[in-house]
Amino acid sequence: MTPQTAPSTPPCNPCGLDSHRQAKVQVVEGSAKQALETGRSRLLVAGLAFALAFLIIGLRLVEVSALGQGREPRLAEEPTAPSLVLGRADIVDRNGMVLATTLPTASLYANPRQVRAPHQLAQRLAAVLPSLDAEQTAARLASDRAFVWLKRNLTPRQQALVNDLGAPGLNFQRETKRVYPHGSLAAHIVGFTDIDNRGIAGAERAFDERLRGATEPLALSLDLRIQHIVAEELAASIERFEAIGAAGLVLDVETGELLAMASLPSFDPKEPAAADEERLFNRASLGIYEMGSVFKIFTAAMALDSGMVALEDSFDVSRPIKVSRYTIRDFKPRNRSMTVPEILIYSSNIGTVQMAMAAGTQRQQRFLERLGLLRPSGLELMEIGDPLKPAVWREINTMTISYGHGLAVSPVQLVSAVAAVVNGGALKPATLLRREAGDVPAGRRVIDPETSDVMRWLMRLVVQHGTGRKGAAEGYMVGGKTGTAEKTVGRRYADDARIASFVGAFPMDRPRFVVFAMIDEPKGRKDTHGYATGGWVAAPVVRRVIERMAPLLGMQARPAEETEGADVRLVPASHQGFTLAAHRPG
Amino acid sequence: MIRLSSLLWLALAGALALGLFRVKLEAQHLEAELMAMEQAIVEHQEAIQILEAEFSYLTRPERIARLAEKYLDLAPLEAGNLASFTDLPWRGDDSPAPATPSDTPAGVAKAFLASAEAGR
Repeated sequence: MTPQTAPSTPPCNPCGLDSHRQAKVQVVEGSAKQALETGRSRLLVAGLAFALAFLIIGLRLVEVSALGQGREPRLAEEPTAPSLVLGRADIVDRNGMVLATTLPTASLYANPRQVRAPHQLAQRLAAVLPSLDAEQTAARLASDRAFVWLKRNLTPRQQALVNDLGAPGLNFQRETKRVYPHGSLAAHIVGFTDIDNRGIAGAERAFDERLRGATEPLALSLDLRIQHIVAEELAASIERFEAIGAAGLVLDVETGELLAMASLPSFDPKEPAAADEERLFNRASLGIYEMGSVFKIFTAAMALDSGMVALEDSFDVSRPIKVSRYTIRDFKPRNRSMTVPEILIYSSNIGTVQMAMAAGTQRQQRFLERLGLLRPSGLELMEIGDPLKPAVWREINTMTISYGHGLAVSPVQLVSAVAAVVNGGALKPATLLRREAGDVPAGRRVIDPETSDVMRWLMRLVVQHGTGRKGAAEGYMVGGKTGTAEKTVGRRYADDARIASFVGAFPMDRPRFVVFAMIDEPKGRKDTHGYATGGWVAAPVVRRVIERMAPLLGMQARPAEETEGADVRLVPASHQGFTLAAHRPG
Repeated sequence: MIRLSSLLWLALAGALALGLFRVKLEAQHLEAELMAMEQAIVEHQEAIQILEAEFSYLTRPERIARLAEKYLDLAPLEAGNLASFTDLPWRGDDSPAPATPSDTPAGVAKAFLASAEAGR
């Protein structure tokens, strides 16, 4: 290696070495050259890297600005659509009619310090807001505070009127208010809220969590039109028979949806505080009642389903049954024996007791348990009555329960159980929510389809020839059972206080609805020959409800020859000298 | 030479500033418009909410029944008022359809069709 001489011009000095050090480096000849080479190559690498980076940026710039399609950036903020927040979802019926809604309202307040002529302003305010007391308002406006409420929750029209006064010192505070457009019509079901819009009764309470903060309306199973029909017919019956109250239900036997549930007397959900306990009480779900002869449906179904009693079996009903200190009699005693269809047609207590005894206490208890009559209904409301059952189930209990005394259940439980008896034998939980076709529960089997078929025809016979004749809606093939229960007053049964009821289903060849009506303490009338029984009081209500609701639902009445098929298999049952027939499955 | 390019740049910068100003102004206008629109949407939603409640109130079954009784010549729908198409007589040929009593739904429908035919 030849020693390098110092060049006349300073060499390239990439590393920024100053001339003093350079002089030193020049001495160390071999390594100096190497360092220079290294520096040069590093510079090249770095330069290339930067050039590449700038090139990429440049290309990207061209791509974005010139070749890009001018689209909005994909990750841009989605502009959030504004929406009205009212804090509580609506409640609607199955057809979308609003039952409960939250409305924005304005509450009027004043700043008295800005009010110049309190008396004059109070007069003008009272002119547009009639409920406002002019004297009181004037006093409030004359006070020296900075804030006084004048009136809460104005309607939009009232707000506009107040605005038009153009008076300084008046202001509005925005608030929300729960509104029930249908008033007392479904008040027990819809319920009501407190001043802070928290549900405290009915669906408002049961679905409080679901409603709060939501916007999607809650669809109930109710059909307002049918609810109205039921309420109207019950009210007419209350007036006609001077009763103290009534309850009515319409249940879809296939889905368990309640299309109507009325309890009278009702209340105005706008001012629940003004209603007394009696009005707020939901007789249809919270009230429990001894249902009387309506229970014979269950006794017959149990006896037939168990196989211990056949349709043709006859029972001697000529003598009252004496058990310890009780005597069980028939309303209209007959001095002969009766077949099962006859027992139901005539509503014989003695015959029913014998059927129940043939099946046995245990079987009855198990059967009623399966029908859901011994535990509270699973309906979504909080106002659910606990059935009243005997602590110890003795023989005497079996006997009285067989015809509907000694076991008190709510009307909701009763209609669910009747629906299970007539729909082919599957108990479906009753619901207040609209069920879509897909999510109808299969239900729990309680009786055989064959027994259900027999029961339908027995119930049809009761309406055709028996105590339920006034429940017959022409062309709709109604079947049912009447019930007249004596009310307990204290620990005794009262002679003059009754509950008249009728449970019907239609059309009996393929039931779609169970309709129930119950009238509390009806009084006999001249034109009912002094009777205030289920057959005279409740059955006509059910008939009119069916006659009015069926056409609404597009159900066509059918001529008699079509509904009472020709090839019925007969079970003889005599009635006033004629031989009738109960249909029997083939 | 330097002056010319300077002027050029100055003009360019001025134009850009003006352009930017206009774009910003327009964006401001649009933003105000958007806000007004959003306000209007909420107001309309509020109105819809109130009108739906009012609709529900005005279509109370009890009220509709009362009004229908007062102003309309209609009676409640009864079982006999419903008929299906199969109940209607066949009018494919000229031979008279089998006599249908005029008090059945099919008879009423037939009479209606006949009068409609005559009126044409």
